[in-house]
Amino acid sequence: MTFVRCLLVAVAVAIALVCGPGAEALSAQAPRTVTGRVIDQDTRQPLADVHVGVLGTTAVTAGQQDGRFTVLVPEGAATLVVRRIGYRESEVAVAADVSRVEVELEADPLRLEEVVVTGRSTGVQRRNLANAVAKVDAAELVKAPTATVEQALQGKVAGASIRTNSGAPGGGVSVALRGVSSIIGANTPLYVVDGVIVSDVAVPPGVNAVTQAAPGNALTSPQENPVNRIADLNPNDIESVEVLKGPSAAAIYGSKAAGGVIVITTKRGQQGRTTFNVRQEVGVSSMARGVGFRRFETVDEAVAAFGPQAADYWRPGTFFDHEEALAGSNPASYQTALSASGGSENTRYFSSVLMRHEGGTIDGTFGDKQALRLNLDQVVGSRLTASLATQVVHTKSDRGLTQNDNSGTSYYGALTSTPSFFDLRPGADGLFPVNPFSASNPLQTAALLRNSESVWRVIGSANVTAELIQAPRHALRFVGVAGLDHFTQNNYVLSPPELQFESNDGLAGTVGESYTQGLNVNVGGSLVHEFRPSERVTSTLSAGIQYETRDQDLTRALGQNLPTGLGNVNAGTVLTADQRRERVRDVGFYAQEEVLVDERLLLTAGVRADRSSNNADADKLWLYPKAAASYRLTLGDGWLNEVKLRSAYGQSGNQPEFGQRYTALLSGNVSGVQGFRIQGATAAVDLHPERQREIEVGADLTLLRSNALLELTGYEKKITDLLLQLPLPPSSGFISEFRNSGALRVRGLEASITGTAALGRFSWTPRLNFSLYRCTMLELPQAKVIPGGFGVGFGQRELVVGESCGQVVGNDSLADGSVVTRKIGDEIPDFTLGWSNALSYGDASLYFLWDWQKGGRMLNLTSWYNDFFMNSDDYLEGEGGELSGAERFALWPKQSALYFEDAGFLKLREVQLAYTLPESLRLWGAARSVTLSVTGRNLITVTPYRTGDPEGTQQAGSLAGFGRWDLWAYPPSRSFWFAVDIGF
Amino acid sequence: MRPIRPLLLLGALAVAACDLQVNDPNSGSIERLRGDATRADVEAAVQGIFYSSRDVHDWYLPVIAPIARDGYYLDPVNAEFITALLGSAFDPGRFYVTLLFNPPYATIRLGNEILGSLEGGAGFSDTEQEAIRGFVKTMQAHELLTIAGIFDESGAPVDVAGDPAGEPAPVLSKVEVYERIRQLLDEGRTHLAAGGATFPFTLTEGFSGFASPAAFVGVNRALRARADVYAGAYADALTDLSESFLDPAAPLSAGVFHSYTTNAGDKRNPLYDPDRVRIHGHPSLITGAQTRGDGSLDLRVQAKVQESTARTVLGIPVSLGLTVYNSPSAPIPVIRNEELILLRAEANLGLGNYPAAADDINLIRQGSGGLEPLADLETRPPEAILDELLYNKRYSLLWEGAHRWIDLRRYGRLETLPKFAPEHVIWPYFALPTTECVTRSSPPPGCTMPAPL
Repeated sequence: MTFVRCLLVAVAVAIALVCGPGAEALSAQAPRTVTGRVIDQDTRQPLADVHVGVLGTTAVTAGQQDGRFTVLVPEGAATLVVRRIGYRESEVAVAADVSRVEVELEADPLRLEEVVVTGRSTGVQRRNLANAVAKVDAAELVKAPTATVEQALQGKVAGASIRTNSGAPGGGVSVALRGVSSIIGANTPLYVVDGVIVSDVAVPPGVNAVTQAAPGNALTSPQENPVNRIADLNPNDIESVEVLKGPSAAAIYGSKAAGGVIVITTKRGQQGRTTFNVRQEVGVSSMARGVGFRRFETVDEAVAAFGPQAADYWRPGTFFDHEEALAGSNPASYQTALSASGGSENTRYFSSVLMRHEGGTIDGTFGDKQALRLNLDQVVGSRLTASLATQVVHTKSDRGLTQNDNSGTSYYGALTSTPSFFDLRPGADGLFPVNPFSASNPLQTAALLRNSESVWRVIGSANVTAELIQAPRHALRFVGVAGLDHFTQNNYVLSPPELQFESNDGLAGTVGESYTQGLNVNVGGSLVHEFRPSERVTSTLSAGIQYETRDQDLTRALGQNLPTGLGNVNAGTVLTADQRRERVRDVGFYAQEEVLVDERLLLTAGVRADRSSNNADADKLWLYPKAAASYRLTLGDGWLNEVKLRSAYGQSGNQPEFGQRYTALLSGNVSGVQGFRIQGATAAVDLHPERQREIEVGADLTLLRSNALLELTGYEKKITDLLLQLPLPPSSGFISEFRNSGALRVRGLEASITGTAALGRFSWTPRLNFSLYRCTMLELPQAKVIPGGFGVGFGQRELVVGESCGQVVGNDSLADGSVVTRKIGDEIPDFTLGWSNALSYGDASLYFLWDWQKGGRMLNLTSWYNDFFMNSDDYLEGEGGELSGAERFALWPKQSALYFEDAGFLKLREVQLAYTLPESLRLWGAARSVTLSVTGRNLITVTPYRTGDPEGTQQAGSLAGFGRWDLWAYPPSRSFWFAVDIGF
Repeated sequence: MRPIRPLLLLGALAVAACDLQVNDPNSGSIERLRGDATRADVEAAVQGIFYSSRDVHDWYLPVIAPIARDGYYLDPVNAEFITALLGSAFDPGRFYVTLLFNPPYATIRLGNEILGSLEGGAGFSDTEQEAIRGFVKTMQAHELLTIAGIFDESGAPVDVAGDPAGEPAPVLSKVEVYERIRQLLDEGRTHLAAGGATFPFTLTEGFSGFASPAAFVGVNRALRARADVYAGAYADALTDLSESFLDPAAPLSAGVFHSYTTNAGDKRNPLYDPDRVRIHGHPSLITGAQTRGDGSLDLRVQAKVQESTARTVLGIPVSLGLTVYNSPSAPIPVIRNEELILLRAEANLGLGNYPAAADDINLIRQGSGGLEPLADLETRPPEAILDELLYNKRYSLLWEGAHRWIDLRRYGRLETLPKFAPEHVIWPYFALPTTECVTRSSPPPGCTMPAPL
């Protein structure tokens, strides 16, 4: 009932706000009408999506599809300001007697004119922006097909670490903005789509019942290679992605913005004739980088590694490439994207359909997505615009059985102890041989085990914009937002009784059926007051409220001891049921003032106040202020044209995660006698959000006659009241306590350069982004805090005041042979660099994007296990003078760094070669445009990392808690695509 | 513009007043046992003791049995069971220490929360309260006895009822720990004596023979007898045994047990491993076994150890399976009649009552092992009687607890344990877990591993 009451209050406030000021009269001067058309300066083609404003007033009119516009201007001479994304802004003087104009816009690869979000319902032009907000537009986003929007952003945003957790099709990506945002709290950004917060939870599929990777932690194991649900968005629907990297830009999102905010705007319809776009892609992928296993030359080698029984199976000269048999297929993938867009003066629409199939290199694995979108904009009368954005998506996948297990069942877990001279393939009778070297035969497991996931999701948002007052000097706007994000995720894991390992627990056959319902509801409203006291000054005051609920309910039924051929839970003789619910209620208030003077000086100040049920005291308000300033100096036409100096400060919070504030009495029964018990964690009575304070300073230089833009940013964020799960003496009965304690500091640099050069029909647009950060622990309640790990032998994260938050401490051998325990490396990379080049000659274009991470270490347990089982491909002889596997293992655990490897990489992320057909070849004139392209993704990987993908990690969430480790992951893949893009 | 600001303020205030409080939808809250606890809450918490006290068994024997060379627990993908437990790479920060240390203290905490909740009465009569106190303190003492057996000379914290985030309980010495365990059991007995005819809560199947406060005194005394023997207080042990459920005429299997079932929400016996995936017998179980009159092996070996195909797992050749637990619902003993008879033998041996000791040992030899009685046992030197006692304790209580490890340690015989590889060692006892040490302002004694043998 709480929610309904709050909703009613919110609606009442909204109505009061809309109706209250309605009495105030609109006193405009007698207007006149100016019509016009906007065209591209080079191509002379009309431009859609244009916005036309009148200088000195707040009125803005949207142009039509054919470039035409009609705008009301005051009596007398006026100046029109014409804007379009990707073009330089143009000011057009209109004499008192002129009523028709033609406007030419010049293309602007530097995007200085685009409007970037700065508040819940406000934005400013990039050239005035006080923060380094990265904005990626549609054209740049979908160069090469990807399953998820985060993958489409890889390498394109300075300060964003975006890593694919594994090569399994369908997603699973860790995103961290500006390095470390928390130790055990959320490190991931908040996703806001069309003004509405959408869920990015990752619900584990339930394979833990088979792998026992986290014994007794069946429902919430993070070790199941889950997909984070932002994967449900269709990247093709996205108009732009804005990345608010830290609190200085994102403070208006309050206690959910510590990890930054990714603001996604979907495409909207344009007035005019309906245009259709069809994009058909077909592709093929292959394993990009495997693990590699040992070849055995003699029976003695075999016996030494696998014991006397190996002699029974040894056949001279035989080598079975199990990895190739498992993950060596070249699956076909396809993607069909259709869209239609158009509308009348009052009603505009954009709709799209996506059908996508992505094959996995391990047989039987795949990721599919079917998405449908309808975005509507309706003008109601002269004051009201209503927008609706709806998406229905169905994603379906089977991701196989990879990553950590404690039962010898995951594919690579079985391969690590299986010699290459034993044939795992099925015999003529179709039966797989029993693998005497492991609990399972991975080829049998891959063929028979199912790990399927099916998600149906509806994301809908409604925006109402009411122009309450439209006067020449001031305007008052109400923006109401309501959104709903509902998904049902079904996971079905079937491990049939005939699998080799299934009888090991005496209960052959396991089936798990899980349903997760997620429901996020947002309601909010803002009032935006724009005031222009003079032609030189614009003031934008906004204030509003936001209410959010997040509910999640996971139920799982598990059946064991199944008869052959049956896959229903109730076919088992041993049934278990589990449930986990999450309920979060948040409310926030915000107010913000932006003053723009002379289009040069921008001053911003704002504050957000938040309450949340995740805090121990749900009634307490937590305040997050922000302030920013920027100044723009124009310096003429030389090599340095413009300098903008900017500085921004902001605070944000990081709520405790759901459940951390409770000290639970769990239920359990012994032979039917039900009781309560204590388990694990307790919570401080004042558990509250972490506080992050960020200051950012920067300079943006427009160079070479506005053909290049250099943006330099330095930032420092301090996180205090860190949420830590501190160990208690276990003799207290509790293992740990969630408490706010400690502080850390992140300092970083970001630089990006965008340029453009043209020579005749040839043009070149390079973009380079660079970022680095360092993180230092400032305060801790204990001399050292160990957030997790496998002990110093393997190297574990240790938080120590004055040391890096990413430091890993392990054993190291000194020259005299003694062993010391000290820092052996850091998970934080030295720097990251993304470099893209768009080259075009006439209608042909070439685009490629390199993504480079220098340094950053990760525990490679895959390699350790291969050495432990004497089964690594370099066991006897190291490659190129490196240590061999035997030598590595002999030195371990006295030299932990041997398996705590450099996970830096250089990847050719995206390549696109495209050709737009000349008019004569466009399907005999039926099509508006036809483009053919060949694209590739992750074609080249260069890395010192020994096995698989240096991006991958066992536990999602980048630097969160436990740290990075890699074990038996799904191998990464590279893909090639051919695409035809036709517009009608 | 004017009407907007007050309206905005009003709206903001209205929403600010919304109640956002969300109670834990997944579990009860410990607050239910603090303040005004209800009868049902306390009853459920007492019954939770059965579940909680079972938790340590998930890892107790997989960790201890290999050290005592009663078997191997070979996790195909976790080499630590060899490198740390048999080898010298022991790290007291790892799970094989914490998962033996933490569960008993979670049970003790639960017990202390229950004792605290009774201060307000919680709707129980005085007699009922006494019954609960008697049961809880007996079970707490049992948990401490498990801890004392594993951590021995490292000592252990005992006064752990305080604020979990407050000053940690001091670590008491081994002697003090045993003294406190015996005291706690005495307190438990006093409460039980005033506890009326019935327990005001449901006991599990494994406790079915002892479901009244009066009968439960027999368990309380049995546990005290074990603590007495471990503390060397043999005369006390005989007294306590006389008040325990020891009964030479009763089945040797009579006693209290941790129950397991395959029911939803329950646990399966973690030591049930029909396909010998992880649990293997140690070869010395066969080589060290005595033979019966007909030349066959000790009946206990026949029942508990089974030959099967030879394999090599993680470099260790294994060929023996264990059949101590034959189903996922097989109970694990807390303490039973057979142990009590052997404890009586041990106490008598310690007091020099050799004939009495020999009688009890022969009782077990015949009744449990199917072996011929040793007529001359009472006349053999005490060391030889001890040999025979330890032999019988090993096979009678195989894979039921840390008995063999504790016994050999007490008699300084750990060095007699066989080692499979030259780099293998014998750990005499464990250091306190790292978390127990680093969370204290000054590390207590007992935080470093003793020298291995």
